[in-house]
Amino acid sequence: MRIKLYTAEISRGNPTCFIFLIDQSGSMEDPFGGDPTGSKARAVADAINRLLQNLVLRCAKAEGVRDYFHVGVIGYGLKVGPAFGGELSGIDLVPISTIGDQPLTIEERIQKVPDGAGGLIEQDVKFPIWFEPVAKGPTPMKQALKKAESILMDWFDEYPDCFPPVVINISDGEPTDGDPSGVAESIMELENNDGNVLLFNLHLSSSTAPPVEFPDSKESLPDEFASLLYDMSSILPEKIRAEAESEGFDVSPESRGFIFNSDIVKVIQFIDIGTRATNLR
Amino acid sequence: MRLVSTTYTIPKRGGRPSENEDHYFPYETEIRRDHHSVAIADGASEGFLSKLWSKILTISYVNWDTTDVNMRLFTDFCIDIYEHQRKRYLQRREEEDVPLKWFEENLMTKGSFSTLLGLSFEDSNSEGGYWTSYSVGDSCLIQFRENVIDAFPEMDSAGFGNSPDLIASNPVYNKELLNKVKVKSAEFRYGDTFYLMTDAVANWFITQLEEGKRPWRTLNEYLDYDHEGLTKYLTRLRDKGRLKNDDVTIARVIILEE
Repeated sequence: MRIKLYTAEISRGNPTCFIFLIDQSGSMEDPFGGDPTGSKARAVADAINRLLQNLVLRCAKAEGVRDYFHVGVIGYGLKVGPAFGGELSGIDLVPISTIGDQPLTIEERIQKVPDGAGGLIEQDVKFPIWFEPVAKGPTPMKQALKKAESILMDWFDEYPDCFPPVVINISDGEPTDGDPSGVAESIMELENNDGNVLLFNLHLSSSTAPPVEFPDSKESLPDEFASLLYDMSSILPEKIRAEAESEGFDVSPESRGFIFNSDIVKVIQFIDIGTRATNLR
Repeated sequence: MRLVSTTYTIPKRGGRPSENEDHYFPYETEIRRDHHSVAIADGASEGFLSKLWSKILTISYVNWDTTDVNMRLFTDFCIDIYEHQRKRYLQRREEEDVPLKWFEENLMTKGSFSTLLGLSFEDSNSEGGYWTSYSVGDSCLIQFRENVIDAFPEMDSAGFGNSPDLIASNPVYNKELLNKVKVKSAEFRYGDTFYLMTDAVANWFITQLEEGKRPWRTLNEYLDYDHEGLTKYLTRLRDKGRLKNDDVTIARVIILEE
């Protein structure tokens, strides 16, 4: 068996790609985590906006945003396809600099951030919005995964030596177009010399069960939908697992890239593009 | 006492020289009077204006020029300069009618981050004197005399990672700063050579030592005669995966009596 290193350098000449699959189906209108005031659709929009914001910030320098990442967002609900609006509509993969330049709107928010000494401080931040909550139609998750698979195959043709792409599926785990496990398996089998494509899942549920991060078994999961998404999640590669461990996550060699009702932004911070400011953690 | 320095710096592969966030000071190759200090800093890839911050830290360290640095006062001093420069930067952007984008504003709120390795010498007798070094992060100092090597901070090749301790330009992130500062003082003799290196090349150097090799010979030959050759050599190391693709800065300082 070939050893999967996940050490390929990510650079402007050899970028990697992220594909986000976002569930925009009718069931996403239900409350999130037992909170009647917030919907799962709101939680999805929040997650994808924060993920994109984080990716842009990681690549931003004084002279502009460096295109270390190309990003696709596939929505699935009434239809399956690229979900960006405005000038980005219809495009499968968009360079991160273009995404940074084209949010739909920018809000002002106060954010509590770690001060590096165990405390939190409040900071005024700009909060760009690319996606508003959408909750309409069925849940064609299998089709969305197929679309991702096709984008990934084209990507590997163009960048055969890249850091393996990362697919993050954000859903309540209730597909309506059949069992998506087979396509998920095919995606996780796509590989290059550096490793296999990583498929991670963020499960947003109405359940009041406590959040779960990087579990190594299905025991702690609340229902069959969580189990389905757990099975569809890659085992964390050693390098990413070490990063997660140093951040204080309780992980084992069998831990999977699965998050239940919690924050998935950390996952993309584990992808190495250079010296990180630990002070900011 | 006379410090003779030779410096070399290149950006990471695929980067432009203007994107190199390492900094070494002083620029002069010979320092006869005034300053008996040198410093090197490695601006973090994540952060805004990191290049400016690493520059301010190194220049200020050399200008403080003391073997007894109060790191809290020193950092506050540097932050004042950074704030002044940051305002000038914002003013320039305004004059050029290029307003900050949302991500620039967010990054500017967080500020800049950098390692720092400063080294000061004090002569005390006809043979030499003492050096004192303050360090935050993984830039390294190697003292060399004939075949005797002393490294600071003490690191093995496994100790280099992607999350070194850093000094922040935003004071709210410096609460733990004093716990991150390492200090060492030791004796030097005239004729000693000091190598100050940022993490990638320091890691290579220390790995070579661990393998029983003599990396200083390679470095000296290139630093003395062939900087272009050094670039080719480092490129080959990067291609073979033996040198992390990062900005590289090497400063060699030889201490002479006069």
